[in-house]
Amino acid sequence: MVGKDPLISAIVTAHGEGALLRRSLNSLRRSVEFAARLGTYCQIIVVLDRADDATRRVATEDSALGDVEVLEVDFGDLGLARNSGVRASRGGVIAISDGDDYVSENWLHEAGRLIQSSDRVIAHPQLVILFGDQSGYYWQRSQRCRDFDPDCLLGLNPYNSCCAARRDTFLTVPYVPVKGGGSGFGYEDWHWNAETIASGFEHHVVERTVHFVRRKSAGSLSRRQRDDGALIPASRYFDVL
Amino acid sequence: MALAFLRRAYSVLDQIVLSRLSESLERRLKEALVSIGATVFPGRISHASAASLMVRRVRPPLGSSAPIPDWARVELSALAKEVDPALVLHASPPCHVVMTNDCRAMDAYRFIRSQLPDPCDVLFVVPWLKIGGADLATLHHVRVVHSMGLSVAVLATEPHDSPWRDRLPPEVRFVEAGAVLAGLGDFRQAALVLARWVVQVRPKMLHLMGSRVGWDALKLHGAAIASSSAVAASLYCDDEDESGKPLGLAVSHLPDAFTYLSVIFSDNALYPERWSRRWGLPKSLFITLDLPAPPVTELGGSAPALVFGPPTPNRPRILWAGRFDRQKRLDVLWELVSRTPDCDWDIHGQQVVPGHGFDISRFKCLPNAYINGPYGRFEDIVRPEHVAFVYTSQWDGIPNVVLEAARLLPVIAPRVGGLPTVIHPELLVHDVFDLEGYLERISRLRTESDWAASVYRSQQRILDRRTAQSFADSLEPVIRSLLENRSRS
Repeated sequence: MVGKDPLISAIVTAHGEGALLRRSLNSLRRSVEFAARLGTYCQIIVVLDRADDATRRVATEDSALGDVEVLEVDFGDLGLARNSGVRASRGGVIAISDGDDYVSENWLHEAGRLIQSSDRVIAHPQLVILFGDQSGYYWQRSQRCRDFDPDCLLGLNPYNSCCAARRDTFLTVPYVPVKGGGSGFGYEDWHWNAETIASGFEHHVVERTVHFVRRKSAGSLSRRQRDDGALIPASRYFDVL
Repeated sequence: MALAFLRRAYSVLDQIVLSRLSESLERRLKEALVSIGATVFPGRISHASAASLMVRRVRPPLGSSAPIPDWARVELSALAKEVDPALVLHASPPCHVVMTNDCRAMDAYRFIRSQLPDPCDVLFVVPWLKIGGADLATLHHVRVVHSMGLSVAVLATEPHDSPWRDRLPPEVRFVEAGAVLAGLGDFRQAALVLARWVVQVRPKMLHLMGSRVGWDALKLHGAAIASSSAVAASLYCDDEDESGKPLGLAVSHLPDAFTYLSVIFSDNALYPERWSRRWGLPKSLFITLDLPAPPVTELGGSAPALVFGPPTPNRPRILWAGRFDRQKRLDVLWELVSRTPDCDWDIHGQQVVPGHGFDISRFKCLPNAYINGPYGRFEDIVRPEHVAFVYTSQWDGIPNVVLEAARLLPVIAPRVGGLPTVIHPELLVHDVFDLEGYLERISRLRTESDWAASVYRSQQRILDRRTAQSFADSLEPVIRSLLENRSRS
């Protein structure tokens, strides 16, 4: 598949997912195949950021199948890893997801379609279903909806990390490092959402798409950040009064 | 018991009825309830007005709790079949409503940011600025930092008046944010708002002066705050509950938050030593500063000779002044007054923080008790007939009222907190419950005028060392060092 310019580059970051990465990649493959059936060509890039051996093994085996490209980086930071993936990508549209989550079959194709319609749009799945050690779900809401006020950004993150946008969007507003490790800062996706809104981009949900998020009882980055009371770094959104 | 039941009943009433009314009607009814509560339970209602009860509520966004639709369940089944058979949902997975229409925290942040748009050198975070020793200490700190040529702002975080804001230097900006923070109805949100302001604006230094919101912010988001600003705090003593168990910010917040602090100022060495032992904190974290005692000239030039003049034909009088709250043990005072029928007692003060009061009407049955309201200047309440100032605090640092009183009268006080460093040893009683100790010293001061004059002179020598200049000389290098370390990091 390498050599043909894809429309969408699906970037998956991985660190310590181990065997779970295989299932996430299979979920993405399913979405890639769905898009291909409708004429949308996609590539998958796995960005290994200080990955453990088990995770590297899975990525290497998948790479050998020819439909996954692997990039190794040494940041220890999700945002910087994603930025590397963006720079290495060839698609005009970038879709971001994590190495232990799943997406609905229609995600890549439908997100690509929405993004084609406007160069200021950022797409998110409409429904997020939590599975694993905790189950539950929540709805995401387009920025133009009546009950959406971007000022909610101070208290919560209205969109999780699974998103898609034009490559230029990610180059114009890259993720910032959040240091981690007791720095008090975290949530690179929340910060990116705030920065993109401050820059005039508009977040939309893609109807009838789902992001399946694995919930672990311990050890997840988001739980650690919550326990540490991490905040997003300073954002231009909170300077615009 | 009855009050606890009524509080619960109020909470239910608020949720079911009051919160659904128009804002003006809700406010009027809550004002009425606060007023009734304060009448029926004097001193036990912590709300001074309805302002702190007016929580803004937001309804969930439309459709935010819609069930998982069939198309998503079909997709989940397909994914389980093709990718991960372990992908199953519980029968009724909980829906997490995302309040994308809730901008209350941002509104509060925007208010504070509009008042404090630029980074100041030092932000003091206080609950309020009103009559009180801790508030006076805040003023001392602010004046020193301001005199160093640094830009200073003071943020008040509780929904109470701050009459002492007028005592700040005119260039110091004072922001009253208590109402907007209380309107959030959730201490975590208030802490988040303050933390966000610090992260965005990055003042060089933050100084927490008894503000619970400030301490909550440090406890919950300390690492981010300390990454943005140097953080100092002032703590003076523990509070105690009725069983003597320590309470207060040094108990509820210090153990979790101390790692984010660069320095803790206190006015006495006893409590820092105690906190260090109790929580395992480094002793180097604490700096004891002698808060200034008022110079005699500042006390209107009242000469001690007036106090120790020839015996008057009038009955001897004893002075008591302070807040009418639990810490000040007005029950002990009541006992002392009742056991000295040949003395008249002038009792001055007021309830400062609603809800922490003592029912002062209990003194009505004592003919030798003269209850007065609050006072403006301490020297105005001292009379030649006063033989002593009696202090009945159960716990304390070094309260300002004692420093003021000690300038004009012999002070009898319990051996608590920092009091032994300013009170003559022979005038210290074992603790606030040492009634015999109080009575014996009152009697001696009445009958042994030479001894009274001697202990009084000794007091003056101690106080003369506590000047505004010596306080500034101690504080300035600490502030300078904190700011220099900050600019290097």
